[in-house]
Amino acid sequence: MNSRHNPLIGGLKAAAPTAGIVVPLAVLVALVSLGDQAMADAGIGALVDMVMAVGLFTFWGISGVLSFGHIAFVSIGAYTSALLTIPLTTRAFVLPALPKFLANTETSFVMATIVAAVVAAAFSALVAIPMMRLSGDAAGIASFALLIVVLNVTSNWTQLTGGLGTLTGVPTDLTLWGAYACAAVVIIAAAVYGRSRSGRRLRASREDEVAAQAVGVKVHRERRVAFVLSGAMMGVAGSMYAHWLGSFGPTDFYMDLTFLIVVMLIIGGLRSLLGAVVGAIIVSVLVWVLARWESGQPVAFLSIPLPLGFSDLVLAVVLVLILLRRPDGLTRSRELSWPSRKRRLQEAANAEVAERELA
Amino acid sequence: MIVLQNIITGISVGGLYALYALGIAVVYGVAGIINFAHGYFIAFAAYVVLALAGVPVILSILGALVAGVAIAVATERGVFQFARGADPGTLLVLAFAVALAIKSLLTLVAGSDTVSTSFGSNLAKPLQIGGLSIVWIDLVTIIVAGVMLGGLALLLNRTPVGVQLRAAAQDFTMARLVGVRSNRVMMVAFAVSGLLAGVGGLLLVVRSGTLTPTSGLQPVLIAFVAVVIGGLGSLSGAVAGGFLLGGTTVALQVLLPENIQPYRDAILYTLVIVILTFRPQGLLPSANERSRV
Amino acid sequence: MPRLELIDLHVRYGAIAAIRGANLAVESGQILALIGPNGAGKSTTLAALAGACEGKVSGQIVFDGKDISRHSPEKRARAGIALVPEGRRIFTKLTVEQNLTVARAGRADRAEVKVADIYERFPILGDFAGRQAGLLSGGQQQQLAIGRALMMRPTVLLLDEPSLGLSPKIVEEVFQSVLTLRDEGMAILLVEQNAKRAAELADTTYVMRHGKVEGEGAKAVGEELSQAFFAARGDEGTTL
Repeated sequence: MNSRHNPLIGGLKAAAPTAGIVVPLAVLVALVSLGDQAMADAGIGALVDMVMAVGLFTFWGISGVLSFGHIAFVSIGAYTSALLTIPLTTRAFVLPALPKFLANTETSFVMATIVAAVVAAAFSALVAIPMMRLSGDAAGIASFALLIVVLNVTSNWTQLTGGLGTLTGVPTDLTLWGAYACAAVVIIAAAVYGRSRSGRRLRASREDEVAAQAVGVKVHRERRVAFVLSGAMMGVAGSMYAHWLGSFGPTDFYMDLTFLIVVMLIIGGLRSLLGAVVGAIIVSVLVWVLARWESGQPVAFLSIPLPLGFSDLVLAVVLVLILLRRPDGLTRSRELSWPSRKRRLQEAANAEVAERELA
Repeated sequence: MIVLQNIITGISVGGLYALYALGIAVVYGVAGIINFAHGYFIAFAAYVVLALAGVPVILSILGALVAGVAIAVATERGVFQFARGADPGTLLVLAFAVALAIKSLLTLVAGSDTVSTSFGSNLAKPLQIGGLSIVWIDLVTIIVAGVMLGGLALLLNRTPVGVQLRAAAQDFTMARLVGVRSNRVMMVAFAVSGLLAGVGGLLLVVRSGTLTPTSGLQPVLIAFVAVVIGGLGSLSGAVAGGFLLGGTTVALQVLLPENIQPYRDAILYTLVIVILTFRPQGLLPSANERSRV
Repeated sequence: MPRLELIDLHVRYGAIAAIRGANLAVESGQILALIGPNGAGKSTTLAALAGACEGKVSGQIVFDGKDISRHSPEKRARAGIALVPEGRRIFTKLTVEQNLTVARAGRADRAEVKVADIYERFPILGDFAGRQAGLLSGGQQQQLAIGRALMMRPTVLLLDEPSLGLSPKIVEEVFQSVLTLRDEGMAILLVEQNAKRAAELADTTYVMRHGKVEGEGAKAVGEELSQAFFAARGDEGTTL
């Protein structure tokens, strides 16, 4: 590290190239904003998904531990935000049985998002206690279980969530640039975390858990940090989701959404933040094009009639192909970095020394 | 009397769940894959039964079994065989992708609406034995489960193929080193799970009378829980887990107070997380086989 | 012509080279011992020969004049190369007899090996035929592992540390069987920690260290060579 004097500056500096993706992203968003309302709407959706992908990457990508349950935290974030932002009169109508405090509190999107992040983080901290001991197959099954538990509760706790039906009335006040702002914050947070000591330790444990433990990394603790951070990010995404659509139900946060985000991560590259961002963009575009064709609309003057359900099939097939052929995704799990001739020479020299030692 | 009837229902549901669980366990034991797509093998077979409406029953049954085996082997040959040796995360996501592919295929062909059928509807009739009133389908389920379990046990213990399967499940590399063909063993494992899926599909259609492309989700989630209870990596554990889960489900249905009933799933799956954390080898004492967890 | 020949074998695990150029040849009716300290690559060599090596393998493996370097483990097993791995790795959940029957002799033109033949060679296995293999003692498991390998009608037998964990008396019994097999014409490649005993048994002894085959010599020279070799390096890794 080149800054012993101020680790924060040093950390930000190291994270900068990775986080720098927010700049070209801004350009993309600017382009999208030139389109019509439908386009902007799709753009917001893509950014919401992107936040989820980055959130999932922060845990799964860095720790190497599987999680199919993260969408549960999105659900919690969405409901928390909704409960705080549905206008009071509407609220009395759609959620008549709310406890006093919730029935009477109304805040802004920003505030609600922060609270959503905190609540989701708290919940994930709780869940992390048993779950961080698991890895491999067990982690996969446990994360499914988490998703189901949350679904079951949100579907049945009618008093708080409106039950199985759609909860309506959330103000759709999320703008394209508002969504961008949220995404940028989350991306930068992910980049800084990835470069932090905790993040680097976690990465080390991903490569070789035993070796990492041997050098003193408290693997379970580092995992918990990542899990809670990603839980918070999912909470943000949930709030964004609620304010993007204005209405949603418990089943919005189940297998289909989980699959979508997993596809994004894997296509882009599971192990890099850049992968999460790129994957989100690519899959969003793909799904948008396919959805338009499925509903008989043209894309750039081209209209291909597609039957319903085709886009799911395409995604599934693409995922299978990527997993079998290019498991590192399109970005090959590389991050953006400062182009540095000096560093490349150093790395080459290191490799040579290693070779010689073994000979 | 009521108690006895409930017990029989419990055994019936337990048998069904044991079949679901075995489908997962057989593939997991040999290939190390937690096949999330298994539920959709079941759904696929169920749809084939529907497609064969009007045809003599015996052909429908055969059709379901063939369909189950076909989709399972096709999945192994077309997807999983190229992923041998991949890490558990990749395999699980792969299985997830296959599940979605099958589901979307079913949606494309059959639409996403719920279809209802009268196949086997006469099995919903009650049967009177003495003072006992049970439903025909419960009896049929118990018999079918018994036959399948017995057949599987026979296969695994008395046939050369079965012994190869068990050897491969215990130590795949060593099995290859004594000449067991890995491709063959994988295919057989998937074929067996496909047969179980075919039976599962038949029972699903008869027991619920309706079908949608997402009908495959429920069985596979049940199978997951049963396998976890019984201990990942153990066939007998999967069976025991299935029966235990079935019995517990019926018991909870009967015993849980009204207001907690809807949260049954939440309770169950929280239990899954707890078991995985504190007793990954499963709840049952017989699960002393090597676990990959 | 040697039964089995290894030409310029290289094995890498990622950036680490485990074997860096190994050459050897085994004839029928010959025991070739491979000795050396831990981590030298002896087991890896056997694994590479059998096709069970997880690293990246390059080099040539020639069996009866044919290059089998690209063949799968099961193909090599069926062709007649049998590995008895370190730790025996018998199928503990299967019965003794099932452990034997699961091993397949691939080619139909080779005479069927009957389970009875194995029981004749190792009577104790016959006594325990129906018992779960995991219940056998170490020595019995070793016999089972060799018997299982023999079911494949092999012409080459690869033995990885057969004496590991066994009492001296049992070790002698096992080595006796190995000698008998040699006399019956089997080509045997023996990896052993017990360097002295291995060198005594073998017709040829190679020494392996740091992934390279360092020396070779006939039976009598073998032990001397090893002793001098290890003394010169100041290595205490073997029992001499």
